[in-house]
Amino acid sequence: MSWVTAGLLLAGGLIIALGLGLPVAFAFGVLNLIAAWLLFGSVDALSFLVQSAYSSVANIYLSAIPFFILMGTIFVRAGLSTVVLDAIGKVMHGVRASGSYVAVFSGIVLGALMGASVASTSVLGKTLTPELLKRGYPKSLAVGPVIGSGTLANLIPPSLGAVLIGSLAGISISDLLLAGIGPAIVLSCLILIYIFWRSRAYPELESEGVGLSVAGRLRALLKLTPVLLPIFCVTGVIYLDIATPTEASATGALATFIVAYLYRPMSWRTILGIATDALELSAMLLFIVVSSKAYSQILAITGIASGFSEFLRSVAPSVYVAILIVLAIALLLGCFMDQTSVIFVAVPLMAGVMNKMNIDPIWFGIMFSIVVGTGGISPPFGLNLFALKGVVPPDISMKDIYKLCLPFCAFELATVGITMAFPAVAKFLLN
Amino acid sequence: MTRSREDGGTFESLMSRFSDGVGVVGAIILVLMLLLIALSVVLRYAFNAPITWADQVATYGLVYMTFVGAPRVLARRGHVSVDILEASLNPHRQKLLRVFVDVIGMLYCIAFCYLALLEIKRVITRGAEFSDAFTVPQWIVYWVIPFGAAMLALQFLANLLIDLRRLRNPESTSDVQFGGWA
Repeated sequence: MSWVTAGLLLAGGLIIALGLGLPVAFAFGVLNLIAAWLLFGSVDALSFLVQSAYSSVANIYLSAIPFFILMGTIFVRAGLSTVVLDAIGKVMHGVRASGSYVAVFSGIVLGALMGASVASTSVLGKTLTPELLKRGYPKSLAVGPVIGSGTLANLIPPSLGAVLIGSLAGISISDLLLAGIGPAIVLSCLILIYIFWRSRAYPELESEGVGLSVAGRLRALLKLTPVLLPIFCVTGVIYLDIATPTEASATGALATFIVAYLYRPMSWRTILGIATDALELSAMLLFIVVSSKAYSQILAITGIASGFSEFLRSVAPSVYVAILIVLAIALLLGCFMDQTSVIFVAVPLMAGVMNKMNIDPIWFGIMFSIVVGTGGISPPFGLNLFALKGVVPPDISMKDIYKLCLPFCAFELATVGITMAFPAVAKFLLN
Repeated sequence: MTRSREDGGTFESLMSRFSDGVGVVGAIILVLMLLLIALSVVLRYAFNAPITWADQVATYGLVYMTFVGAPRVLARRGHVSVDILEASLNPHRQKLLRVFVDVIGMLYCIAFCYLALLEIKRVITRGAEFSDAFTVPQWIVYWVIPFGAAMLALQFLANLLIDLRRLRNPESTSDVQFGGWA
C-alpha cells in the first residue's frame, strides 16, 4: 500500500471517528487500534499500543501542562483577574476608547499568567465586554479587542500549546516558550493600532471623565506588583535559564497560590475545588496525548510521515512554500477541530518537513503555534468564539462574533508573515 | 463542563460518584507532584541538594493522574469532541448518535483494558523493571492503565444507560456542548 492510500484511509477514518462526535481522545485511540490491527493482524503485536500509551504521557516535560493549568485556575478562582483589570483600567483612564486598550494590556498580563487563550478570552469577555457595552462602546471596540487580546495567552509564556508542540515535535520547550514573546508584541501592536484607527470614528468615547493624575496612575500600576512574582517565576526563570520549564511551571503555580492566598485566604474546600478543576482539564488534555506516540508510530510505519515530507520537498520550490503548505493545513484543521487535536494531527507532519528540509525548529514551531492559536478564533468552530458567546450579553449574536473576529484572524496571519520575514522577531530573546 | 446526572439510576449515580472520587485522588496526586518539584528546585538552590528521585516520581504521578482523572472527565462529559455533525441533527437523532458513541467508546475501552492486562501479565512474568534514579517493577506503574480503562468502560456504560433513558423520553434535551481549553 502506498503512503498516499494509507494517508487517505487514515484521514478518512479520522473524519468519520471525529465527525460522529466520539471524544477526540477516544477517536484517536479507536483509529490507532484499527490501524494497528490492519497492519499487524495479531493481538500479541497490539501490546505496543499499551507501551506507547504509557510512554506518551510518562514524560516529565508534560508535567508543565497540569502545573500551568493549575496556575491559571488559581489566578482566576482567587479573583486576581479583577485586580489586574481594575489596575489597568485606572492607568488607562480618560484615554479615548480606554476600555479597548485595557483589553489589550490586560490580555498581555493575563497571558503571562495563564496558558490557554480560551481562559483568558472568557475572563476578558466576562468582566470587560458588558461594562464597555454599557458605556456605549460599539461592538467592534467592546468585543473585537477581547477576541484578539485573548489569543495573546497562546504566545506569552506560560503557553500550553508551546509545551505540547515542543514535547511532541522534540523542540526545546524553553526556547519555544520564549520565542512566543516577540510575536506577542507584534500582535499586540497590530491590535493597538486597530483600536486607535477604529476609535477615531467615535469621538464621544473621549468624554469618559477626567483622567487620573500621574501619581494616581502610578499608584494603580503598583497594585500589579504582586502578580509580578508568578510572572518572574515562569518567564524570568526560563529566560535566565535557571530551571527547566517543568520546574518553572511548578514554582510559578506555587507563587500564584501564595500571592492569591495573601490577597484572599482560601479554605481547604476552595483549594481542593481548584485542584480538581485543574485535574479535569489536565486529564482531558493528557488523555488525548495518550494516543500520540502510537499515532506517530503508525504514520512512520505506513510511510505517511516520510512520504508526505518527501512529496513536499519535491513539489515545493522553496522552504517557504513548504512551510506555508504545512501552516495552511494546520489553519484549515483549526477551523474544525480544537487546538490539541490540531497539534496532534499536524505536528508529525510539521516535524517531518522540519527535519527533512533542515528548517529552524524554533522559528517553524512558533509560526505553527500562532497558526494553531488562530484556529481558536476562526469561524466556524473556534472554541474561543463559543466561550466568548457564553459570557457576553445575549444581544451579541454568534453572527456578530463571526464578523468581529475576522480582522483579528488577519492580524494573527500578519504576525506569522512578519515572523516568517524576520526570524529575529521570534529569536531575539534566545541565546 | 456540564454536569448531567439529574436522571441517573442507582448504577449510574454510583458510578459517577466513584469516578468523581477517584478523580479527587488524581487532584491530590497533582498537588503532591507540584510540591515535590517545587521543593526539589528550592533544595537545589538553597542547599545544593536536589531530590534526585523527584522527576521519576513526578513522571509516574503524571501517568497516574491522567488515567484516574479521565473517568471523572467522562462522567462530566468533559472530553472535548468535534460536534459539527451532532449540532446539525434534530434532537432525536442527536440522542441516537450519543448512544452510538457511548457504545463505541465502551467497546474501545474494554479492548484497551484487555490489551493492558495482557501487557501487565507479560511484564510480571518477565520481571521487567523501570530504572532511573531508582528501580521499580513496571507493573507498579502500569496497573493504573487497565484500571483507568476499566473505569472508563464502566463510565461509558453509565453514560449509555443515561442516554438510552433520554432517548426514550422525548421531553429531555440533549445538551450539545463545546469543551476545550477552558
